Amino acid sequence: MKVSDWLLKHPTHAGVVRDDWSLEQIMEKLLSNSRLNDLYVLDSSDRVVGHLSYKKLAKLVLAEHCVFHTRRQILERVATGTADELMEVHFASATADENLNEILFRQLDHWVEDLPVISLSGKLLGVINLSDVLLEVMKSAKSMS
Amino acid sequence: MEIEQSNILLIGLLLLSGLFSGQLASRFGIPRVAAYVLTGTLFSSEILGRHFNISTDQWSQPITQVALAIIAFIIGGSITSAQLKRMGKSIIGIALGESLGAAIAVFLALILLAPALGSIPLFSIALIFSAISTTTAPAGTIAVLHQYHAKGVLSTTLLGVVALDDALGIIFFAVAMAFLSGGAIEQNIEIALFEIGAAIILGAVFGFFLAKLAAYIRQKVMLLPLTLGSILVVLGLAERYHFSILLSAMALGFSSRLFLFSAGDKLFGSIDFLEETVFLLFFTVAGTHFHSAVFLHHIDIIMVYFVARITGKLIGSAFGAKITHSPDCVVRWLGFALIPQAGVAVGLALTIGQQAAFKEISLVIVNVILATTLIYEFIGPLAARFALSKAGEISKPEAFIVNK
Repeated sequence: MKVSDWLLKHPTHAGVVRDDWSLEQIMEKLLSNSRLNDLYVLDSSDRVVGHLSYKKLAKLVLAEHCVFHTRRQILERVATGTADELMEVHFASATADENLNEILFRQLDHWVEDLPVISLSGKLLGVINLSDVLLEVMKSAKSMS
Repeated sequence: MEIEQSNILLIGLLLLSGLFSGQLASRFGIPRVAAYVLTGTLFSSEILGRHFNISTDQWSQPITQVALAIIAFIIGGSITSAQLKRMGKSIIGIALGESLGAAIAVFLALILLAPALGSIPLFSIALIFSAISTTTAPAGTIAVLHQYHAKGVLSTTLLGVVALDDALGIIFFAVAMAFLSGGAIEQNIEIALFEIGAAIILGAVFGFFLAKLAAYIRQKVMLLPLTLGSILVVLGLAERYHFSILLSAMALGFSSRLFLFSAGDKLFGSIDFLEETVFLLFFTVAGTHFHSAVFLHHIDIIMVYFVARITGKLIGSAFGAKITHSPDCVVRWLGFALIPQAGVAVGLALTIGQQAAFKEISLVIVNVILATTLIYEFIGPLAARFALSKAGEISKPEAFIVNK
């Protein structure tokens, strides 16, 4: 199945934030929908420029409860920046013309719940939700047996 | 059985016994660092070393060098210029103040009070100790803040300062070593400046390529070999052309983070967690260098260093806080929370033996730093607790979740 077909069949709400948003704004967005585990950062031209994971944001907000900090985490805690400083610019993504089978390893390797599907111009077309994929896999396994 | 013939076995034993003793010590509220050092001491030439013919001389220098380069890379990659701007003049001013304060106090105290050591000029010895004295121990500080649920301006400033001063310590040390390598300072200024500048350029250029290469690697597991390979190449080139190894590695970290244009989780995530392993190795290896005769014979240097470093940290941090108009509680109490000294200091001390000019005093330096680190590890948390309590930043754990 092509990624574009999957998106038509499973339209999923993608979590997006602006690159100049503060941690507070980012957290508000993240917590507005309990299904959101990954946020994608958009620049002023609506292009996807980075990724923020739930785990990273939770660790940052609850930093004072962590016994161990890396040096980067200490400085992020003391001088928290906006989304464009917190995000990871090299993140796993897919394009609409790829096959679903070819991109799932990427999703598992980077352990992202919502894998972004990005157009050639860098715009977000949708996300592939891991739970949806798992449901589909389980359904087809059941029908085969 | 001769463990000397199996260095790999000895490294494995040091890591495992250090790990388990550290875990055991934590259960009884004893600092892990103390357990690591005592474990290493068991393997020293005075205890098990004599019976099993253990020696770390052959391999400890290259391993320490690589390990310290990894730490320098991590430290370089932890700081961004945007964060420095946001942290403001207070944290930067205090970090500079307490680092320079300790360096100046230790330097002057040793020049005035320490006896001569072999054929090495006292000036050189004082400069080496003063550079090492600038570092603190972020892990210990975090543990204290966590234990007492500390929150407030002193706690935040403290975190910022301890995150920065190891970087300052490595810079001081690298500059000091560049000027001292070879003897007379006057003759070496030009060479030293060249070594420092070239090291920074080397690291910066490789950092650029590391960031670009990292973008093309999709599989996370491949990033660790890329990072380690880059560190080793830069380290090897710096060593070959006599540039500062530490500055090269730190510039590599800083530059790669800069050209990544991101939080750096992808590139640094895999290597960040090597820090504890590296420190475990530093402490246990340093412990194997323990010599009771060296320790007892230089108790005067240990005492002078111990007192001067604390005095310098207290005065320097208060001075830095005062001139940057920090709140009164920071001016008065922050210095007390900056007493711990750990991994980076021990790592720097271990590398002294690599310099031919300082080989004869390397054992003294390692023993002095080891002894003072142990004392600081025990009194550091108490002093930090005192500072946080005086600043009114120790809160009760139940304040976080309210049961209705």
